[in-house]
This record gives sequence, structure tokens and C-alpha cells, in this order.
Amino acid sequence: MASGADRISDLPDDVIHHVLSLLPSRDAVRTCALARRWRDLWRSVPAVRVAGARGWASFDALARFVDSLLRLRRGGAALDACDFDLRFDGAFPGEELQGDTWISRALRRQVRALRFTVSTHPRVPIPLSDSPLVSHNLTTLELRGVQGNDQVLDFSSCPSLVDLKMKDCYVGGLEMWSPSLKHLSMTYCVFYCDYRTRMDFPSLVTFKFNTNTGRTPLLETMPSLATAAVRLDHFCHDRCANGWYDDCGDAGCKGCHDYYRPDEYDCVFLEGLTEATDLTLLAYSKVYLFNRDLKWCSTFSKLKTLFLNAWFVAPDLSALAWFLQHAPLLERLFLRVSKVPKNLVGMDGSFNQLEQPFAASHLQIVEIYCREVDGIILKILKVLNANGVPLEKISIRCSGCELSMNAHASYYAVLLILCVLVSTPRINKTQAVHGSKYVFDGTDMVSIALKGHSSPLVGVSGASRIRLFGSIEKI
Amino acid sequence: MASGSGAAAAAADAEEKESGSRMITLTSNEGKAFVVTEASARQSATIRSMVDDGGCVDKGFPLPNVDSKTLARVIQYSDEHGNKEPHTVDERAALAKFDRDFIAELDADKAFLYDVTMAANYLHIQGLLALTTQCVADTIKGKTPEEIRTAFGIEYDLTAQDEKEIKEEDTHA
Repeated sequence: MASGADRISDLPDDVIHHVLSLLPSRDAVRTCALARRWRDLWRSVPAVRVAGARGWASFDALARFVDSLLRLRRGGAALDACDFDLRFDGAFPGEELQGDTWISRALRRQVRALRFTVSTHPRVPIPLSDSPLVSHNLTTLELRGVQGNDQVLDFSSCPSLVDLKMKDCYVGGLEMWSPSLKHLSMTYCVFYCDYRTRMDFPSLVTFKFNTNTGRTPLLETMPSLATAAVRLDHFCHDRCANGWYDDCGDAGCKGCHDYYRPDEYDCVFLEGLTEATDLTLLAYSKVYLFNRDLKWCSTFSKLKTLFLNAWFVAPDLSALAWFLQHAPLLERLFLRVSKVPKNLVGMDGSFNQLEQPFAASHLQIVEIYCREVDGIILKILKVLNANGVPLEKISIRCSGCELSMNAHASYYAVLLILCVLVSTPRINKTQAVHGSKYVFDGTDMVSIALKGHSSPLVGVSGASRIRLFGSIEKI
Repeated sequence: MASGSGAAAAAADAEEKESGSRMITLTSNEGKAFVVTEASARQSATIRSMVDDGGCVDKGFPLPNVDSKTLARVIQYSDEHGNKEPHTVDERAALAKFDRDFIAELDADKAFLYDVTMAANYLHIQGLLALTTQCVADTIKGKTPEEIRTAFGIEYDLTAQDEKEIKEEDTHA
């Protein structure tokens, strides 16, 4: 029971409107039966929220409610947000285009942020009708579980649109276009398998492209781009059935055969990201798109932070060398190394190496994440070294055997440990690493490694790669 | 000597002005003065704009719409959010816990929740207003009109005509 008399009803209208805008519309509308003060407040609430289809006698009842909700709103009241979040245990029960009606009605009510999400079992996207969205007020749009088309994906009739999120959607169009869009996020969306959708967003600032299916789209240039995070996963169609990184020439391999069709483009995706300052490029190691694109791509002249994973390792670390030579302002480099499938076939030769490698003069830090230390780490160190990256800027974090060391303090020791581990597979790696876990001083660490296993010393001191990094006497 | 220390004080004052660490006096409608850091006071967009416009920082700010009990509670919130910026996960978690405890106390006293909401609205303290309006919304959510009336002590004053209209709209919807 409340203490004392009613005070809540004395709150100013705009505060009550704000309260009601936080509620599902059904609860907001219900307040009309509280008292006279509350009789019409719901009509001017700046948000419409319909969450879930449960609790309604039928889908038609829900549709009627939404209809009258939008119809009975007070004329000029601003509509900041419309949130339709429809979840069904089975198939979509209404007529398919009914959702469209709500979208266009919300747009007519000059909504600024519109979210329309549908989820059904089994997952079947609801097709949107074949006409463009038209609104001068819409700034934010989130679509989930719908199927687009060329009309809907042309956002040029929404000149204020800056933020677009699409998730679990069928793209269903050959072109996406918005002159105003600044932030785009696409996750778990399905692109065509045979054609590349062209994406033209000249004002884009942030771009998230995560785990989508089908052909990777063709990106147009984005001069204002700052941050891009891309993940091409197992479902991406840009990979070779025969495990090649270059055109395998097999007419039966859809990945390679149709790669550059129907247009004769060269760089598909990365050219669109060259203006970014902060870039995350993740790909399943068999997806060759990035590797192929690098052959055509121009310099990443503003890039400061770069995160790469599995794909850069195969076939020959040339992607790593490429970035070290084509990102002159790079400050932070993060590399996640994982096992490379053995059957991947390398390209003949590597990318055109520059005669004078950039001294990666701006590089402040390189962090390498791996599950275990093996030969590939040494190769990476070699590539970094050959491109002028001093070893004291490199740290290696190894989760598999809890080996975490900062090369700054004792990088000779780190190298020695690596060499010991790599050159003598007979050694129990865990044992050697456990020794190093307790003592981080270079001298001790090495002596621990050597005390237990005297033979590696010969192998290490005789190894040519040591000379790459400095003199062993320094230890 | 005196002029020297005066200059030093002026320098210190200028330095304080630079770093935003001046102290500001807020006065409740009962005339009680509360001295707070500028960082705390700046949680309020109303006071922030008065300070930035070169307002009467020295004389302090009278707040004729806020009583002492409410102002003390509002300052408790502003101090917590204004004086330390959370950097670590732990600090953010501590601040979230403060918010939860803070609103739980208000939730138990709906009349006081009203006072703090009004003050947050008047002073434009966005975070605090979001916290209190969410609390009011949570009380309404999923309840019947009768339950909501009970929760807030709202008096039923709808006429038979109102009831009839509501019923009609309801069958339409």
C-alpha cells in the first residue's frame, strides 16, 4: 500500500508520457481506466511497443489492437519509437503483408526509430511488399526476420536514415543504397548464392558485417568510414571446393567459377574498407575472399588498429606482410592464430612485395593470440621482423598452455623457449612451459628450459633463425 | 604578504576553475545550504548551463522547487555519479548496485519517489530521471487498473460516461 495520497498523478504530462513510453503499449493504454487524469494520456505517448504475440486471443486481436493504437493516437503527437517485436511458436499466422501495413502506418505517423522484428518456427522471413519506405523523419531502422527486395533496400526516400540494423533477414535484392546512412549492422542475413549484391553507402561511418550467408556483397567506396568489423564464416560462399586460394579452374567449383561473375570486377569487398581507422577482419580459414581482394586493393592509408584471425595464416602469411606494407599509420596489430587446414593449397608466389619494406614506424604493439606455440608463431615473428617491427613491441598470449609472456622484458628468452619447443618435439611442452611460468627473468627461464633438457641447446644455438633476432650471447 | 597570499588564492581559484573542482552551494526551498563539488552539480543540466553561462557560482543556486529532504537524496545520487567516473568492470558494477539500492529505497516510499522524480525533472538530471520513471513504469507493468490505483493511491473518479466510452474503445480495439 502506498504511503499517503496520490502524488504520481501530479507529475507533469511529459514525465508521465515518458513513463508510459517505457511500457508495452497494452499496459500504457490500460492506464486510461485509472482516473480522469489518465483518461487520454496514452494517446500522446511518444512510443508504441508491441512485444510478443502471446497473451492475445488471436493474431487478429493483436492486429486490431495495433491498428486502433496507431489510429487513435492524438494527431500531432510526436512518435519517437515504434517497436514491433513479434514472436510466434509456429508459422506467421496473419496475412504476410499485414506487418507491412504497420510499418507504413508508423512511417505515416512520422516515427523516428522503427523496429520491426518477426520470429517464427520454422524460421521463414516475412516478405515485405515491393515498394520503397518513404519517410523524412525515420533515423533508425531495425529489421529482423523479414525478406527485402530491390525497392525496400533503396533507402533514398528516407533522407534522415542514419542507423540500419538487419538480422536474420533474406536480403532479396541486388542493390542496397542509402546516401545518408552512417551505421550499418548486418548479422545472420542471407545473400544470394549466385549474384553479388552491391552495397552503396557513401556516408557510412561504422560497419558491422557478421556471419552472413551467400555471396559476399560488392562494396562501394566509403570515404567517411571509421570502424569496420567483418566476420566471414563457414556459410560464406566465397570459398573453393578444392581448397585453393586462387582460381582452381575447375568448372564444377561454384565458388571459383562464378567468383568474378557476372561483372568483371576485381576487388570485391576490401576496397570499400580502405578508409577505415579501426578494422577487424575475421574469416574462416577456407574463405579466400580477403586473400584474393588484397591482390587488387589499394593502401589503407588511415588504418590504426587491425585485428586478423585464421585467414591471414594461409597460405603463406602474405596477407600479414601486405598489411605491414600497405598500412603506413598502423599502431596496433592483433593476430589470432589457429590451426590451418593442411589441405589448403598455396598460390604460386606471393603478392608483389615492395622493394623497400615500410619500416612500420607507427606500430606500438603487436599482440599474438594462440592456443599453442608452434612453428607458425616463429614464421610470424620472422615476417614482422623482416618488415621492421622490433620484437620488444610484440607480446604472445598462449591460452592452450597458459603461456603468457611479454616479449618486452625478455624477448631473447621468449625466442629461445619458442625454439626449444618447436625444434624438439620430444620435449613435453607442458613441462617446459610450466618451468617458465614461475620465473619471468630471461636468464632463469632459459636455464630452466635447458637444465631439464640439455640437448636443445645445440639445436637452438645452431639454428639460423636465432640470428634473425639477435645474438644469443646477450642472454 | 597579504597581497601575495591573495594572488596565490586567486591562482588556486583559477586552477580550480580550470579543473572543475570548485565547490558550489545549492539552497533548498527551506533555506538549507548544501555544498557540493562542481562535478556533482554538473549532473544537473539546469545547473550546468547556469555555471557555463557564467552564473552566480559564488552566491550559490537557490532551488525554490526542491525541499531539503529531496535535495539531500538527489545530491546523494549526483555525488555518486559525478565525483567518480567508473573505469573498471568492478567500478561499473558498484555503480549499478548503488543505483539498484537507491531506487529500491525510493520504491518503498511512493510519495518520496514522486518528489525525487519532480526534482530530477526540474534539474534535468537525465540518469536519475531515467531511474525513477523506470521505477514508476515497473510498478504499472502487467497490473490491472485496480492494482495500479492501490499501488499509487490513485483515487477513482471516472464517471459512468467515461466507463462507457472506455468500454466502447476497448471493444473496438
